[in-house]
Amino acid sequence: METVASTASFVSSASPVAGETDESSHGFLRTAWDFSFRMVLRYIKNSYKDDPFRTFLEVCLIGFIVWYMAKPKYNIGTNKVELSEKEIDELVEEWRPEPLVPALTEFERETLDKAIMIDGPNGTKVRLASGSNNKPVLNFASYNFLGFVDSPELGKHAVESLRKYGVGTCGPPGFYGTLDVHMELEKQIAAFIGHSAAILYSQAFTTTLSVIPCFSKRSDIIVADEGVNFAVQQAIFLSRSKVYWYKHNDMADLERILKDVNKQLVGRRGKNALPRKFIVTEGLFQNTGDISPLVELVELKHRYKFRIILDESFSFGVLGKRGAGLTDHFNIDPHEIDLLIGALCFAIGASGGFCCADKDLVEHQRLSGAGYCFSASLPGILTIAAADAIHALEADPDSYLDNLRDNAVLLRTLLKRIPGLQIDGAADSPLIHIRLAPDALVRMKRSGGAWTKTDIDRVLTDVAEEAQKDGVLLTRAMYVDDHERILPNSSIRICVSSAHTRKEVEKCAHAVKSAVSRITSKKR
Amino acid sequence: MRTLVQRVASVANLNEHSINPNSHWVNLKGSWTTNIVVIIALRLIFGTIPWTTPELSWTLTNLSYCLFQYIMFHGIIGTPFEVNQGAYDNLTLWEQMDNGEQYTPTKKFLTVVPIVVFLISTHYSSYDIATFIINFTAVLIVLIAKLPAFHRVRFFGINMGQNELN
Repeated sequence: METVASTASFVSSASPVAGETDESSHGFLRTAWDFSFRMVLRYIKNSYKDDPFRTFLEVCLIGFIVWYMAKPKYNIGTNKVELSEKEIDELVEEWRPEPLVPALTEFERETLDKAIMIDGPNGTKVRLASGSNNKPVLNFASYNFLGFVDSPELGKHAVESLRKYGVGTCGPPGFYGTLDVHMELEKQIAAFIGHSAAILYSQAFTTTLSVIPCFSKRSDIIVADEGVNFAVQQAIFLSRSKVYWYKHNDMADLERILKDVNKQLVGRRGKNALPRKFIVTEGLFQNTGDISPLVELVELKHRYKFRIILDESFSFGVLGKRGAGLTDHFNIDPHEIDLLIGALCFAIGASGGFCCADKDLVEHQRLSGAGYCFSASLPGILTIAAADAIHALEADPDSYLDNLRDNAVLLRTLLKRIPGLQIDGAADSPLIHIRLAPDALVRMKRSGGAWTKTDIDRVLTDVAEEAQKDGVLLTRAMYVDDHERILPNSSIRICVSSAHTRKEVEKCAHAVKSAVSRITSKKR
Repeated sequence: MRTLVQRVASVANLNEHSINPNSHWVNLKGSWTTNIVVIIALRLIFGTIPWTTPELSWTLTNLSYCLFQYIMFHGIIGTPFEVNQGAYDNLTLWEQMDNGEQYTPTKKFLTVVPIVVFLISTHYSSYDIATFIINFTAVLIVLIAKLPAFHRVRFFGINMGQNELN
């Protein structure tokens, strides 16, 4: 260190006469370098403080800093593939965009070509646009359970109110879209069912999609029936809750799951100790025509401390002495159902849906129900049509419900006599699914053949076409195949109406019988 | 029985390019500046207490800064307000930062600062063996908690959060 300093000072002191400015700047730089070098050495000597172990630790820490700062960013989850420019160019050359709409399969093309188009208004008798002889056919495909769809009084009153309310409300209910008729209908529905309060949604499908995620969140628990329809499945998926599925209408399985869930929650503390727990099921199942056993459900709910969300889309206006749904059917206090979801587009013949619940739950939905806050409200004429339908049902329930029940029971009895058919569902449900019996399917197949779902769908479509030739409109139950959790077996879904006469019901059964016998006699 | 080392469950999809409103503030320039300012302020405040030696005030500065860092980044899990329906409920602030990316500039800064404070403190004061061990242990704990190998690792069942139901 001393020698370096001495040579530096020697060089700086020995400045030649010629070119004095260059040499002096050179000299200045040299002194600066020498000075800082000596500073660093002095600093290190001070830090050392005669403690080698400590200095070693500090040097390790400095080394750690250097190593850490030099590391590149990376993300734990991704496996990012680094491509060269040439590879990127090649991939871009090869790329062909997929079509926005993929090509239809053969069966999808057939289904599309055979789609039923109704010419004129809907009702119990309709004209088909594609029908060759344009005779009206009996409509057993629409969910027109009480015959309100083509009721002349309802239609007349709706047209009159069109003059007053216009066509649409042009806004969500929270933003100038609430009409006086909305508030009246909500009170009317709550009083009709017997619950505390109700809230109206403008579309029945989105009612379930709004209500369930509104109350059940990511950390909550849902125990749902396996046979629930698509809307309920999507709502459960959207809620991001932990979901357990119990076998369709199997109360023993449900109890096992409820016990298991409660057992898993035992050790928890803090705010995670009490997640919200729901049992979700339907009143009248769309995919099977069954009725859920509400009495046992309520008893289980009280025993295991769960809440019930009941989707009464198909049972509202259909079941019960007054037509108020499953709670009326089983004579249970509606307040036992924590969230009662209903639809106004099936039996009531208007559009939209509702949710009946305690006042606080209904008020919460006015700010957190997605379909309520972000969709336009129900148009005025449809609200009035719904109100009229419920009035008519309240005034004279027996004429509607007794007819409906008798028709349903009659049709079911007649259909059960047809060989080769399998009929499931509750005894007085107007929604009847008919499926081909397994032995009939076996007989129909040529030896060595196997049935795919598409084949069975084709057979059922042919049955519906044959029945159409006899003047009865039937439809195959359609599903979004890729998105159903458990795709139900193919079936023809028959919906009886209270507006059908006894003769018409018998004609339907007769048409089904001849169509089935004609189709099942041919081997495929 | 509490096991020694466990990995905590996480439902957050940490690969998304979304901003976590709970942890985004650490990336802002003001946070970095506040860090430095707080350290300087601590040292000055501890220095003004009468009859403290430089060793004591540096030790106090070092320890309190490491304590703040530990409590804020590694000691508490979850978010004070609802974020993404409880996706981050089991993660400490360090694990929530930058969507789980490692070696980001903020993480590098926050790792280097305690070390630099420690080095400055050893340079400007002379520790005896006890205080040196205290200071060094504090820095070591805070450093180890920040390593990527300890992402979502929990010791002695502390901060395990909510288990996933099966």
